[in-house]
Amino acid sequence: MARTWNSDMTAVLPLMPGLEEAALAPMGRFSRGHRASVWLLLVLTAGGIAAFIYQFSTGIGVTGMNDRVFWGIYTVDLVTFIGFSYGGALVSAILRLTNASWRGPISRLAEGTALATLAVGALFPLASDGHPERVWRLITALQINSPILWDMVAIITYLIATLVFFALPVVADMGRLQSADSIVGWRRRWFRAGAFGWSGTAEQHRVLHRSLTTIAIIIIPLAVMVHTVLSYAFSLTSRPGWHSTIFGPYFVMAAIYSGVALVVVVIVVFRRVHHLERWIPERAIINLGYLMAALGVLYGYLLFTEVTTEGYVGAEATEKLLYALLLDRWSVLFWAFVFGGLVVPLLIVAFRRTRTVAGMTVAASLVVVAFFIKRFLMFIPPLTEPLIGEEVGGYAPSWVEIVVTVGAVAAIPLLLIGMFKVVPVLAVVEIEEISSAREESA
Amino acid sequence: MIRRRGLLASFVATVVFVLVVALAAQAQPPSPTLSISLEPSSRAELADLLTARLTAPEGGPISEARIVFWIRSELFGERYAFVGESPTDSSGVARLPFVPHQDTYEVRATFDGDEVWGSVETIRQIEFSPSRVIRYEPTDPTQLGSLRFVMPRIMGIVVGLIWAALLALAFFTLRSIKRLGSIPDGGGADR
Repeated sequence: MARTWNSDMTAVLPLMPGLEEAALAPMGRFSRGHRASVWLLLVLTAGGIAAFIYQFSTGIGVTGMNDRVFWGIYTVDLVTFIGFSYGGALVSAILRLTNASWRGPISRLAEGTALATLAVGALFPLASDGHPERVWRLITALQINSPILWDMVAIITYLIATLVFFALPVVADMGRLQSADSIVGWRRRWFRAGAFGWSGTAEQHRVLHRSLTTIAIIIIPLAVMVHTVLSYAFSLTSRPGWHSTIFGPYFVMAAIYSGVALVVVVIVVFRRVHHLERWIPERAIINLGYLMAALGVLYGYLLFTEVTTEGYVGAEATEKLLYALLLDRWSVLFWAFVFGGLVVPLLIVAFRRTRTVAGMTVAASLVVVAFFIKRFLMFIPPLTEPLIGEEVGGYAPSWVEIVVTVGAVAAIPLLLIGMFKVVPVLAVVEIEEISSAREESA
Repeated sequence: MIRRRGLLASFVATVVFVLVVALAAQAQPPSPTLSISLEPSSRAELADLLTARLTAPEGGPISEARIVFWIRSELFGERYAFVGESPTDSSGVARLPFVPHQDTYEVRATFDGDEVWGSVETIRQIEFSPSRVIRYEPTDPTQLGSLRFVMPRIMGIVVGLIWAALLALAFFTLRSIKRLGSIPDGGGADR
């Protein structure tokens, strides 16, 4: 193969044919349909921001929250979005540590999804606050025993880890692609700056590999800890339905399961829109489907354990809540979650006929929606059950909360689209490493 | 002619002024008087009573009026904190049992007014007998109070170390990449 030379006289071999175009495909011009989608996402996101500004100027009374249900859909959004982010980071970290050969083409999208969902999710404590402008008092009026402070610390810690885990491989890819023909103008300057002098020497590969392995090792327990801390905001409260020892693992498992599902959806959409079928093979998506199914079984086990142990003992307050969930007020949502989030996705993965990219997309989409419902069921019904007296509370999200939530949902693909306008969508160096290792072993 | 018109205008203006003043006076119901005092309990097991007496301007008691009691406290800044409310009896007195946790309180009583009487409020320093004051001493039934102090601080140190480790890792990795990129290693570059 013919060699080209960098300015520092290190040899550079050409990329695998087609890889450069694929990795930089989202940086090209958008089709008309693509542009329309981006505009729609922009309008929805702007609507969400406007609704939040309206809420900020009017007061939190415009939400459906009340003195009984003091945490509403914003808390559901917070836990759901941050849960999604764990899936992305954990998939990438676990596959890296286990040296899974199919990780290469999906790792960038998985890590990007983690970053985008975390960035959006981390804003929801502000939306849920009556006075978000006082958020700085978390620092100036530091209450070191406050769970809210530790929630924020946990989220920031995880954000730093995810950002580093995402950024380091990008440095190598920017170095690898800085001389690509399609990288011109400001993008070339950006790639040069972001490459940090990467020329692909063996030493550089070794340093990067060692750092990524270290972060992958750190990020797994960190993700578990962070989501457990998030669960403590609920489980350390003496409230039936929340005060449960199972809440930590329950949160972690829900996060990974729903996160992997969102990664599947994101990968399938990018694969389709940017014609990455050659680089993201069906096998990678099916493998993620298997992972999702395994996590689904584990989550089903936790759900079964929670319902049976609490239902068997039948403490008065818990029994009322369980009755409302399983058979009464919330039963439609509960069973929609059980079938949509557990049974149907497992059946789709189980049968060879439905075990296709389309099947995995349907299964993953069901899981994503079902886990939004599940988080709603975890937080809202326990708040509506009275601790004193018999009067049952109620909650319905107001239009402001719905518009803010829709805006946040739209912001995630928008962030991903923006992100892959400035960084390669495929982890080029990682793909080459895996391919080269495979050739050597062959 | 001009003088007559002037007189007429003055007359009309005077009538209008008197009517306005009369109407305004009618729109403002008379303000009653409100006074606060402490009614110590005769029995040790019962709480002392905060009392507020609402009287009409001529001195008669006003019954069935809702009196709200507040104490000045420090809660996100100084403010009056709601204590409770009580209706006045036939002698115009509203009573509220109150267990003091400090010697002196600035007590405020308010009456929002009704169709007959205007609103009124009064503030007074009330001093309690030291024997009646129940000092607030936080207790820890689990005996883990010391952990509550230590654990968050340990967590803070751990989190600080994690942040430092992550940022240091990123910094040193990028520095190494930059440094190693400038040294040609004799063909060991990208495949």
